[in-house]
Amino acid sequence: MTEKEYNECVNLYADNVYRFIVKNLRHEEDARDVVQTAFEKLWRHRNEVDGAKSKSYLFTVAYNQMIDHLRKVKKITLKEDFREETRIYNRPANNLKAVLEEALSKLSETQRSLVMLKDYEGYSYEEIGKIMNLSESQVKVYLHRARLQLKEYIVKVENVI
Amino acid sequence: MSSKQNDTKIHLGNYEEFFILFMDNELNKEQRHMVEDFLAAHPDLRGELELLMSTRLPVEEFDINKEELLSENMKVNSVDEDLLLFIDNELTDEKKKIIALELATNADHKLQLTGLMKTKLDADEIISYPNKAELYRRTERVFMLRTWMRVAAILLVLATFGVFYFSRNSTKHTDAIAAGNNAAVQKKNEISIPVNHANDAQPMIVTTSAPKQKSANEEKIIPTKEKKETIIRHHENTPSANDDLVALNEPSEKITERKTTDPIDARLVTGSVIGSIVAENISKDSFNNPIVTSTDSHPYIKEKATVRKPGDGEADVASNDRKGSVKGFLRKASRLIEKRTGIDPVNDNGELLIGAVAVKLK
Repeated sequence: MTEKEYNECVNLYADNVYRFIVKNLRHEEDARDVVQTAFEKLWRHRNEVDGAKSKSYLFTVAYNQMIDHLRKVKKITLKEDFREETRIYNRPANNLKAVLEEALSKLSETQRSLVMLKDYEGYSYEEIGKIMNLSESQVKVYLHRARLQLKEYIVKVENVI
Repeated sequence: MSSKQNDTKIHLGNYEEFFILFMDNELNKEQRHMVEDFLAAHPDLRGELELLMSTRLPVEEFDINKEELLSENMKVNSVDEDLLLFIDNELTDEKKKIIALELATNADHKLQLTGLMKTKLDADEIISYPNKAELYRRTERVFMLRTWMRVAAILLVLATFGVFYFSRNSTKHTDAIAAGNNAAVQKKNEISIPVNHANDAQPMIVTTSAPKQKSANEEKIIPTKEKKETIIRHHENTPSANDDLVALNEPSEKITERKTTDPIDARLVTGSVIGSIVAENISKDSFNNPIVTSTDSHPYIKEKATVRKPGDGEADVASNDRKGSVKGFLRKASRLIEKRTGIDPVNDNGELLIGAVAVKLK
């Protein structure tokens, strides 16, 4: 990968990777750090990374980096989750997007990542499996469970209202 | 044997073990009776047994919802799975067509699909990275000069300096010649006017050819009155007359040209005071230098530079001419002195004494 191709990658994928990470971490500064690290790794290994696979490479590195980060700050994340839970009742529930966001926050990191990689980036089960180091069938099962959980949450909230 | 028998019977040394086994229901009937008899004999230990019994987890019974496992629900799940695969775009084209047909005909499936579609995230949602500039990279390429390039660069620098140096020197030389000409013209004009330079109060730039240890072109601006004293002192201090000859032979070539046309020799010969003649002759060198009429000393400096220049063939020839003319002048002066004073200016060795101050005692 040339310098030009690398900078093109920044243009094309920086926002996507950032969205993926910031939605998972729900912390802008940490997300920026993770994205920066991912691009740094891409730059360092630019000679080994195929330009066509740079996006997957970035997502893989960013995901692993994010998991490492979450392991380090697990307690803080749990506290934040608790806060999010209390906020649900204060938000306008008729907004489907907001409800979906809340539902998404209820999922585990793995499930959330699966949903985002599928819906935002449009990766196939196979590609998601490679990024998240899961088998294709695992991706399928975890993603289905996540979808049903989301559906259940949305339906519940709608019924309450 | 006795220890084995002791272990099979409960006593104060091993009752805890029996209590735990009792709690875990690991004792036979006989042993259980033995424990109960022991508790009856030691009622204070009953509380300890009850405490141990409280650590046992309570038995819980769960009723699993078997309906979920029924074949009917399995069918619904398979539909769900198909719909999930449908929304994830993971079905083959054939399967997609089948699902599309089912959705068109089955309202329940359509409703289920609508519910699942709500779980899909909006792919058009954009969250921009705050500062992309920090992610861009620029590599600095180091341009390595080859050997011939380095040599060429050095030569270019040297050539530039050379051109600059020579152009500067040639300008100096031209300026010096021009300044010399100007000075000569100016001197001619001044000499043609009958002015007594010896009494001139104007300061003059006097170039003295100093002893060798001093700078050959040392400059001093001194008033004309002081000039005489300086010259006399100079003569007193000089180790030999030859040095003075050298000093007198110093003037520039311009003066040599002037002397051929100027009536200065005649003027000197007709002078009344011997001292003034000698002084004037010795300080004749001062006439070779331009009188300072302005504060600008550049022309002078430039002229001096041309005089100083060694190895100049023309300058050497001019210097020889000057030597001859000065010698002749000095001989005339000596003869005049001899006539007037009657003192022989030639010593026993036949050498002409120049610069020696002779006072006749009468």
